[in-house]
Amino acid sequence: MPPLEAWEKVFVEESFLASYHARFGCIACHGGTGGTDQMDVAHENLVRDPHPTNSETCQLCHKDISEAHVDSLHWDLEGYMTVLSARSDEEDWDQLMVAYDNHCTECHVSCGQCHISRPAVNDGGLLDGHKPKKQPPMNDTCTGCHGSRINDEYKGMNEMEEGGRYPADVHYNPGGMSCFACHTEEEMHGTEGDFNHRYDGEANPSCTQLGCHTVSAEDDVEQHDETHLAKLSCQACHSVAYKHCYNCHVQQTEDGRPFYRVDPSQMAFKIGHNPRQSPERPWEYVPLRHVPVARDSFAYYGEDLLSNFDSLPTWAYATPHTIQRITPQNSSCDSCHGNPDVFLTEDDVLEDEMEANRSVIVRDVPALP
Amino acid sequence: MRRTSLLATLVVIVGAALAAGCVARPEVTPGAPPPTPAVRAGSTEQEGEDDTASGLASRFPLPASAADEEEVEYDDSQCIDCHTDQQAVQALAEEPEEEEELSEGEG
Repeated sequence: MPPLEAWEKVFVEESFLASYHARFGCIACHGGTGGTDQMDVAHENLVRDPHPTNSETCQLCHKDISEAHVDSLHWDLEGYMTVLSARSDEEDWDQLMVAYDNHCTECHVSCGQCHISRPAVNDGGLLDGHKPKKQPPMNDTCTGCHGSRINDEYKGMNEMEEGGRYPADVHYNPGGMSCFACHTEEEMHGTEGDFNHRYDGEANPSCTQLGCHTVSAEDDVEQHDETHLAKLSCQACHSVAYKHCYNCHVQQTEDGRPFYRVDPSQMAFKIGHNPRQSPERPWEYVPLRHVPVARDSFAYYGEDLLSNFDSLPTWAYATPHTIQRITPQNSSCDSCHGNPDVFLTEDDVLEDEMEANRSVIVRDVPALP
Repeated sequence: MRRTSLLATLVVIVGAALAAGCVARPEVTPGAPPPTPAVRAGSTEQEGEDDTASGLASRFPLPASAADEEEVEYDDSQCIDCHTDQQAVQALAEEPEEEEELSEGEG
C-alpha cells in the first residue's frame, strides 16, 4: 500500500464532524487533555487506538460485536498460542511469552484498525479522514497484514522461475471479489464462536457456504464423483502453486528493537495427508503449506524453547488463495495419479523435520485405479 | 336575667366555634403515594420482586432526573480546530525517524 505522510495519518475531514460517530467528541474516545492549544499538553494521556471493550467507545453502541471481538483470533491471537503451546513445554512458557510480546502482539487488530485507520503494524493512518468504513477497504486493511502470502497469491503477484507470474485467483480476476465476499463480518468479528485456531469449527468460509457453488456427484464434472469429493478438499484439485516460508528466527538489537530473519520463500504445490482431519474437514488429502517455524526459531530467547517441536507438522493445513478451474493436477487423471511432484514426499521434507511431518507425508502416491 | 346570660353564653360559644372553623388549619403533610409499578405495553410478564437497582429502574415509569446524572463535558474544540486544519497538521506532524530495516525476508 502507498505510504501516508505523517500529516495525512491524523488529518480529520470536516465531513466527519457531521457524522453520528463525531457526536461523542474527541476526548470521549481518545482521552488526552482538553481546553488547551498546547499540542504536547493536549496529547497527554492520549489513546490513539481505543480498546474494543471500553464501555465509553465502540462498546457503547456495538456491544455484542465488541464483546465477541476480544475473543476473536484477530484480537486474542489465540492461533499463535495454540501452536506455540503445542510445540513447547510449560516450563519454557515464560521465555516464549517474552518473544511473543516482542514479535507477535503488534498484530492485534482493534475495531479502529479495520474501520477507521490502517492497522498499527502498517504504521496506522486514518483511512478516510476518520469517517468509519462499515466495510473496511481490503487493500488498506486486510492485505496490509495478510500481504506476502494471501495478497500476492490472490492477486497473481508471485513470479514464476521461468518468467511471468502465477495467475490470480479466479475469484479476484475475473471475479473481482473482495475479501469480504467470502470472509463474513461474523467471522471477522468472532461472533461465530471463540476458537483457538483459524481452522477450528466449521470449515468456513467454504466454497458452498454462501450458496456460490453446488458441488455433488450428480453435477456435470466427471471428477466430482463420490470418491474424489470424499477424499480431497476443493483446494487439492483447484489451487495452484502457493508460497512456502522456511527458517524464521526472531531476535532483538541491543537496544531492544525486535526483528526477524527468514529464508527466501518458495512457490510450490503440495498435497499431503490432512493434519486436521475432523467431521468438519473430513478429507484425506489437502494442500499443505510450509510454515516459517524452525526448531530453533526462538533460540535468541532461550535454549530449546520449542522442545515439543515434533508434535506438529511444519507442513500445515492450507487453503491457498490461488483457485483455478483447470489446474496442473486436475487437467488429466495421470497429472495427479502416480505423479509424485504434486504430493508431499520424503524428498520434500528437511531431515530435521521428518519426525514432525511423519503423519502428513504421502508415501504411496495414489495410482490410477 | 339568668335566661339572658345563658343565651349570651351560648351565642359566644357558637360564635367561637364558627370563628375557629375559619382560622388556619393545622399543617398536615400527606403521605407520598406508593409508586405504581409501570406496565410495559405489550408485555404480559409479571414483574418479579427484583430489588436490584436495574430491576427497580425498569419498573419505574420515569427516567431519573437529569440533575441526578453526572454530566461530563469535554472541551475538544482545540482538537477539532487543529486536526481539521490541513496547514496546521502539515506544519506540526513530524515524520518518524527513518530506522534501518533489520528484518530480512517476507513477514
